[in-house]
Amino acid sequence: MLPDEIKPAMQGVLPSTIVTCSLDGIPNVTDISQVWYVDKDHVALSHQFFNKTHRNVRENPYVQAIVRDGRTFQEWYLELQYDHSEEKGPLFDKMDMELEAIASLTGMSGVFKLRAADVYRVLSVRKSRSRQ
Amino acid sequence: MIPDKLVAFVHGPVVSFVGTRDARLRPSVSWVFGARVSAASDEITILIPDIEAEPIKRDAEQNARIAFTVAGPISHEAYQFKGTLVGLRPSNDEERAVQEIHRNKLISHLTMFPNTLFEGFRFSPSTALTFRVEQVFLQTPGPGAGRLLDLSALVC
Amino acid sequence: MAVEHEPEASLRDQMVENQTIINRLNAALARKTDEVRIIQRISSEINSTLELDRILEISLDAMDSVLGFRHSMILLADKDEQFLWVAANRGYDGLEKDAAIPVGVGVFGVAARRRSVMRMGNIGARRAYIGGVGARMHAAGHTQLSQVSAMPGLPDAQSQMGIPLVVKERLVGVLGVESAAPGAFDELDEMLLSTVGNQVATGIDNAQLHLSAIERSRELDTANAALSRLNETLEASVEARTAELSAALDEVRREKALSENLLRRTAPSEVIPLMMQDKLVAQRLDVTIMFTDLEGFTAYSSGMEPDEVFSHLNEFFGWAGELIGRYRGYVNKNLGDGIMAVFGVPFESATHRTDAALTALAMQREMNSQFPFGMRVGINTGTVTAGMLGPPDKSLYDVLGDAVNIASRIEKICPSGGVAVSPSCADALRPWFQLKPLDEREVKGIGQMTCFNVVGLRAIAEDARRVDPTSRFAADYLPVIEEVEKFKSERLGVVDFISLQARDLALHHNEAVACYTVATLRALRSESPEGQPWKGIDDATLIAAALLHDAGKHALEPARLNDRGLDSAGRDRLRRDLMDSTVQTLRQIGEDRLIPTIEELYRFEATRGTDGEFRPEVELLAAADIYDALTAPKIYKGSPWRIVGALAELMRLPYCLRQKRPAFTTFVELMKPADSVIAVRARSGTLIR
Repeated sequence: MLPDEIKPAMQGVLPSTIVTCSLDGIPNVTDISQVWYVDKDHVALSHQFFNKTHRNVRENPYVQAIVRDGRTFQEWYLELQYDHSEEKGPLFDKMDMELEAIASLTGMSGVFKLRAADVYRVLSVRKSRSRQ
Repeated sequence: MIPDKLVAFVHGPVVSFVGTRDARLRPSVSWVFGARVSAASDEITILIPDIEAEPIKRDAEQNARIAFTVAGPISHEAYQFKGTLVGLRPSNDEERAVQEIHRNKLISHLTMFPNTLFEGFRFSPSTALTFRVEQVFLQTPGPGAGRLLDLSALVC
Repeated sequence: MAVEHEPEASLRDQMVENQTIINRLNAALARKTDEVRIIQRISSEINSTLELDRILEISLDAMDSVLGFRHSMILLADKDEQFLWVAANRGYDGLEKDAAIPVGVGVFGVAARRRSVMRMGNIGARRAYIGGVGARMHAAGHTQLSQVSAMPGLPDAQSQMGIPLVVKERLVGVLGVESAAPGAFDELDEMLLSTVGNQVATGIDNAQLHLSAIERSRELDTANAALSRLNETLEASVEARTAELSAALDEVRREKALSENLLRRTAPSEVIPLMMQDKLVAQRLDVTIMFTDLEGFTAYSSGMEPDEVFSHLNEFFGWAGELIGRYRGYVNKNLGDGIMAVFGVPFESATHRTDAALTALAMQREMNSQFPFGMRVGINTGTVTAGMLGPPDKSLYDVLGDAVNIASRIEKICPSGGVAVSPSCADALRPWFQLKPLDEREVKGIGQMTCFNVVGLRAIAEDARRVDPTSRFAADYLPVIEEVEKFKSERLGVVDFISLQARDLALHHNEAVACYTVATLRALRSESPEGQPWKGIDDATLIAAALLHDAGKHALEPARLNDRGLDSAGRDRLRRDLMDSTVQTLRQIGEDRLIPTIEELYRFEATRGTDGEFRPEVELLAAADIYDALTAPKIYKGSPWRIVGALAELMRLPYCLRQKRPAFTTFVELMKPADSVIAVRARSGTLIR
């Protein structure tokens, strides 16, 4: 479902915005560094903290995300459904290595721990209408 | 009462979004471009570009739950306001002017991006959605992120 | 694709957008194809030298001028794999000498520590974010801020790619590129750099081995001299002691000889382990010898400086060597501006004749676009003696026999741009190649001989054993052949089908299967009233599946593919290995969507269609694949089947005996000779036409 042209928007050059909702119906908006491309029908978010987003998604798997292309500023709306978490494997390693690299450059080695790579199914994708 | 510091922050060069959900708990999000805080009455009027506002309007009218975030794009200082819909209507001329001012503030602040950054960004026409703030959360990444702010403890 | 567009977008806008996407994909594919070829050249350049500095220079030069990575560096790991030192760099203004990166720090350091390719395009954003969190944590008293010194390279790199260079479990170093622009590198860049990285890693490892081998050689020289002196002084005394020392001296000399042989790479790589264990003996082998000679090189190079001449020649040798290696040939020697190559050493090979012919054709085909001079080629097959020949410290793997001299003389009578082969060689090549007789000539030492020029591979349309000239296929569907060729070169340019097919002489097999499949599909579409299920099959996907259905052959040993003596269990194992290898290859070239169809095709062939029902695409592919396997000349199947026999065999498949199969019956109708009837007695006793 994800077209190749969305890939530059999934490199984390510009942050992404995601909205989740708890089982008791309160929406929650936050931004994240990167939505990771897994394959044509899946994306992943890194799970580092036990925050509101994490708690919401475990109750109610539906998420909407906006990803942004760092060069063209084109935005895309993604409807996602949480599928499963991976605590090891190539996807986890990729995220973990990125964390390790940046932490080592900012003197923060060992401070951040990647707990899992959360994999989501892509339910729909469309270009944002906001930009001409 | 919403503290002055926060009011000034919301009126500053911030990037903001509104989140809602429908009857089936499916969430939706949209850009907000421009906002006016009425500190005295704890209400905020946010200006949502019509081009992506449909789901937000529909959800708000269905269940009245609103989540509104503001973040400094460079400082990463951020807050999330949660509350209940008071009303919504098309934006008026004054509010359009607020949006222009907002755009100019953002462009001046984001020196690493070109002036044409928001060219072609259809923030107008927009819908003015007013909601009453019930909770404010600190959303700046780092220690205390996600904490509910005790507004009475902050200076007004 | 469930991509929604603005409700007001017109049909025209949609078409423009689609065309933009198509253009972009075509450009990406062209880039992919070109760059794969370029990488092959880079790798042969790297392999042409054992000098570390030169390898680093070639690699970084290629990074910049060929692949467009403006800022690049090669870091070498220290012995303990704690630090990476900048050994060479390009695109920087005065990078500090002795600059180093600790293993585990930054993209390059983590790529080294984890021995995994790493690519980032948002370094600035992430540093700002994490740095901000760190500062706030420090302000809140949670952590100490630790200092991190600046990394060598671009001061504010936004994108970086680090490829770890690992050879045999040892971390050699890291190949790194970076850019000041965010999101500068994509998956294709990562793939290309990884491929070059592998070449560079091997090149550096060889160079380092070379350096240590030179060290070792010097040590051995010293030991050798010392032992010699010792030997002399003791000669006057006890005889047994003297004999002992003599043996030690021989041992040292032999070890030195062996390691120097390794340095000079004077034998096919398979021979080296045998040499090390002293197991190499001379053998008699049936081989094919190829001599090449450049025409017009002397005239072309007159007036050039010597190093320019050598540079041109070495470029030719590098290119030719790579091509010869691809068809499993061994470059025995260079003679001036010519090459002598041997096919079928050091182990017996079933395909050495065709390998030589295909190599020569490939060289001649590409000569014009690569070099401004022409070439003559002479090929002969015969029995030779092969083994290490020459003085003990200068021996190389060589072949002796009349067959060698004859090949050399045949080259002399070859027409310009042609490929001349001996009469016996021509007889062996005739099933697959188009040959033209040359004038009868006197060949010194033999007498009068009519040699042949190999014009090219026989075209499918002209091969009456595969396509009957009176068939409906020949009458109505020949244009499909050109369509398949076009598809092959535009969509699958990265695959070298000829070298794949040369491994078991299935020449043009994939193209034939594609042509027959598509022709049958179109015939079925025009015949069936609603066009179903044939209307729903995508032509391009079918052609791709046909062309790639056995692409995994490249990973299987030719000896295994050509083994006549396999029993059915052995055949099953081979089929399974081929399927696994093909699936892996499909993933590597990004054609994953073909995997289910191809797995089902293998299931059909493994069970002769007894195992359930099969998709219509698979029926088409199976019919074409089995038919061509039967009718095309091969090694392991003895002589090919007649067309009518092959078609009857198709109708006898258990799959076809169970019920009427339109795919198979239409295929048979299409391919059969006009006046024939394919009759098969089914189990129930009725005749099927």
